[in-house]
Amino acid sequence: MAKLFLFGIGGTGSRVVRSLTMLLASGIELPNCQQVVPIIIDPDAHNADMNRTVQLLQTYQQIYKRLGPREEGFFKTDISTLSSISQDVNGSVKDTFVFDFGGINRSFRDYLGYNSLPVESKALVESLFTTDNLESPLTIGFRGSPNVGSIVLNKLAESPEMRFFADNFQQDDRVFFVSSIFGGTGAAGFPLLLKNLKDPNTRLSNARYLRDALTGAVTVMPYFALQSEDQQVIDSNNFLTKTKAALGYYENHLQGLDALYYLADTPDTPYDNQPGGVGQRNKAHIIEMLAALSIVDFMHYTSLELRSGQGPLFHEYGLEGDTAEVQFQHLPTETKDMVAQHLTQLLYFTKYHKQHLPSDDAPYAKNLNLQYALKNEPIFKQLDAFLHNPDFGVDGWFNELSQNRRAFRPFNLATDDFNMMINGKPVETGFFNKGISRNYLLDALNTQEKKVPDDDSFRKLITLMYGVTDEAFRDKVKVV
Amino acid sequence: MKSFFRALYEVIGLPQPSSETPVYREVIFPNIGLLNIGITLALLVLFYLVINRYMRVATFSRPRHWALFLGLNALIAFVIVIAQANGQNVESHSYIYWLALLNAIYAAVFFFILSLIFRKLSVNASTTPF
Amino acid sequence: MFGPMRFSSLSFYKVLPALAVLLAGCYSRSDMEAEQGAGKTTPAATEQPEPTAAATKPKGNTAPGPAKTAASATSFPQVNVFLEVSGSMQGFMPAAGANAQTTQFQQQVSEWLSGLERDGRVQQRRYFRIADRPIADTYRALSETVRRGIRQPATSTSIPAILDTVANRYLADEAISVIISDFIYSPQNPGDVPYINTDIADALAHSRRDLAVSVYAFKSDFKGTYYPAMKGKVAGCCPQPIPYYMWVLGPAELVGQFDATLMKDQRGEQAHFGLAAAEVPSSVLSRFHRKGTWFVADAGKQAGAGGHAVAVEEATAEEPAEFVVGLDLAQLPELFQKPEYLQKNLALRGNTTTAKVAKVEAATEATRRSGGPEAAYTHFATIRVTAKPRSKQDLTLALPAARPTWVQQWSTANDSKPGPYTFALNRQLDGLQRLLASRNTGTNAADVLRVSLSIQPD
Repeated sequence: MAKLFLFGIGGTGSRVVRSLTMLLASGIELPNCQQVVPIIIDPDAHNADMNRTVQLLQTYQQIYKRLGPREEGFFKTDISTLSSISQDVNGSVKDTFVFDFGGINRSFRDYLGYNSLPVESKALVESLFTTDNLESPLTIGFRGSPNVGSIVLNKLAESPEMRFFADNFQQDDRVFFVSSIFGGTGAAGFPLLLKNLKDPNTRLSNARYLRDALTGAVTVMPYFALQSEDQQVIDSNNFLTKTKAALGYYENHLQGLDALYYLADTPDTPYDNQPGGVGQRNKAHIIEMLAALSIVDFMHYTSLELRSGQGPLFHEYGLEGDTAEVQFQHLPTETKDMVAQHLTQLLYFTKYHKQHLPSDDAPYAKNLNLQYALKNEPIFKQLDAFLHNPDFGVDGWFNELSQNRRAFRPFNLATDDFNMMINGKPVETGFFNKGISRNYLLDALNTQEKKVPDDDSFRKLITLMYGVTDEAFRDKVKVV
Repeated sequence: MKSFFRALYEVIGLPQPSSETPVYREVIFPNIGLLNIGITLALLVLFYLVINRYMRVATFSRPRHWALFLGLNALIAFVIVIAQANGQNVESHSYIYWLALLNAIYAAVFFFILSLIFRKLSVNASTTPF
Repeated sequence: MFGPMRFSSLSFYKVLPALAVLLAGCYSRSDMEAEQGAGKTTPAATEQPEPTAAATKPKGNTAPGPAKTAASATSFPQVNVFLEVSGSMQGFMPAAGANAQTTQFQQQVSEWLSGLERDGRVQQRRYFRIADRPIADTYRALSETVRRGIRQPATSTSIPAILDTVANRYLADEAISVIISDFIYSPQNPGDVPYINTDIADALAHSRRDLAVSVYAFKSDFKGTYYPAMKGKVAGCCPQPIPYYMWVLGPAELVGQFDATLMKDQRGEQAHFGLAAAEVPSSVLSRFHRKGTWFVADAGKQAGAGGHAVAVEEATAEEPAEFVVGLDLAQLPELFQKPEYLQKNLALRGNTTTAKVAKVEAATEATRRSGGPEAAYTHFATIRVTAKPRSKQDLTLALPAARPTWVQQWSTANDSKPGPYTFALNRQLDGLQRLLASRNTGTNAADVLRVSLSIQPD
């Protein structure tokens, strides 16, 4: 059973994993693997982006557990925590999607044992790090300082999580790294992790599998700016400088990588400058979704395709046009084919789930005992949370994407009319054809309900919703 | 057949006035009985198969819609008795209205019972009335 | 005349003006029928009676009866008229003086003879004077005899002898014979008076099997010598009218037709023997004057339709069920149309004691114009049922052939004092009755009419 180990490093890593989770929830196919194991590496335990990603992943995991493997549908791909892929003999690995840094609440100075260093070393340290670097606590991450991150993260290789990961690494498993090149944690963590995994002298088990494993990475270059404030530790004016430095390093030091995806955008609206913690909660951005799609793209390649050339394959991404409001027609055909239908289905699902499902008194609902289940069954509550939770749910994700700069706005989220939901592509209606009406959806639900044999009402509901939205898209929307 | 309908409709007693008994037994009972069954079946087909299956209407399947058809069926059943009585020139008597009421009740009962069968053939009303 | 016609409420208004014309004009029933009759007989004279559709009178749900055949294809191949011209008849036909008044006999008989002579339905007529034997005569001569009186009275011939001769010699080949006589019969031996009926029966004993006899009784002035049955004579008689009779003999079917045509509208009394029992149109009326809970079981699908089987749902002595049988007796002799007579004689036969004829009424203007089924009937017999029958019971509503009451009044045991009666008339007619009743129960010698009914539980 082939797995994809997905390392999401830093705040950007969390956000890309969130987008990938949404894409997988919408039913996008992830070939060549049966299981995705995200490992989020962020020393900032309070990072809001990370926490809501984790909540989303946990909800997804609960839902998937109930659904199990299927040919197609929402939540098709298994997403599991590292500890759950195998029996952990020691119990030292927690059942979580997040790498456990064991609570580094010391300052970097203490972490280095600065005070006990010999004078020469102290001098070296002072030349490499600013006083600010040394004094800042590590609990909120490396705050855009890869020089700090590289020291701390180098120790990761010796952690129980990494050993457990290596112990359970098998042939055909793949590894993918998500990081930003301009931050602290990501910029430093990605090359370090890669180096440690591919190190021929590593003390990790399954070294050969690790070394031979198909490995990909997406590196997100600056796509947002931060408001410049004098007292802030992160200055987005340094992003480009840092990026240049990192790229220079990558040029010669990325060994064992099979594919590398570069993504970048011109910064527009500055984000609130929050170096980390609960304040770092950024709106979902199209670039994160595209980064998530790079993972999907990577998984589409077979091992032969990836290993055919000399060195890694480098990918960049371009929109059909430079527009502030990206709709489906602005996406390249390949992307559109991959996401348009699935995202539309997911939107229909979440809209229908919110507007109509609780009041549906139709045969399908009665046969599923839906009214009772929605109110009482935990799994239905999980689904509700996944779709509508204001913090991490699907609704919020769509909303954030549409409100960011650049905006990903393929949908009119304000309307309740299913016919008008795709911007620039209203469903054709006529006297006898009401398009995707409530009636149409109800009828489709009732009809498919009769055809789907499933004793599990939750699984049946998901199957129905996928089938009906699929039918609606094919019959009524046809193409975008 | 005649004796079946006779038994069905004479549960409220013999036809009144008794002079009209032969016409009721020979003509009116079978007519209203067959019409009742026929119209009930027609309305059931209309509701469960035409509207709630072939026409793919999914928003006309609630119990209140069903009740509307049941009421319509009962009303038709009531009216056909009056119409039959007039058409056959039987002497007018309050019995006609009792018979009409009985027929309406039968229509409602038939509709209800047959609904339990017809709903299985329906898509959008397969759980109507319950 | 409007009895059989049914006015639906719609057509009634259209008919009304026509009705007014009819009433205002001088048509009478006989006029109309005479015209119709003349119209019909012209083609019938070719001796090929063809029942045509136009001639068939539709009359509701009536059973085909003699009336129908009479109306459709009446034809009399031969009519024989026998006029007794013995001395006893002289008083009816006195030799006329210049200004002598004629008797009713002369009036009636000559009118009748004239009618017969003119009637197109009669193909062959033969006229006889009865002397000691029938002597062939002509119409003109016989008519002359009636008008001018008997010039040479013949010797009297006994009634049985006349009947014997006529019945055995003049009734072949579908012939009708009419005997006009005072029918005073005195046996040779006065002790044989009780056997008069037997004598009459014997006289006709060898006649054709389907013999029927209709007796018409009239009264007339009498100017001359009256010869009582038992000896002696009364000269210069009589202050009171004296009876005379016309006996119509022949095959039952023809006699019935003859009664309905050539003997129609005769004043006086009648008695009929041996006619086919009338199958009168009849029906239990489901809505007319009903009481209690019952229905016509064989009514079928038409609302208000009649039938002959009555299903009684409830009936007790306190609350009996009553149903009305509508009867169309228009074709029957007038005697049998009298409500009083019917009331007295119409009886319900059957194996039950709980059903009886309660009353008999004639149609009224109201019933004729009702527009309902009752409009088709001339009489209504109400039958009262006082208990619910346990099983189906067949009943017969019958009018027994009783000797009409006038016969008794017109009879006397001693006519030495002449009056409006005839010696032993009752015995003569009893003999006739007994003979013909014994021959065939289906004739009106037994019952004048029969209506089969049944009552049953629901």
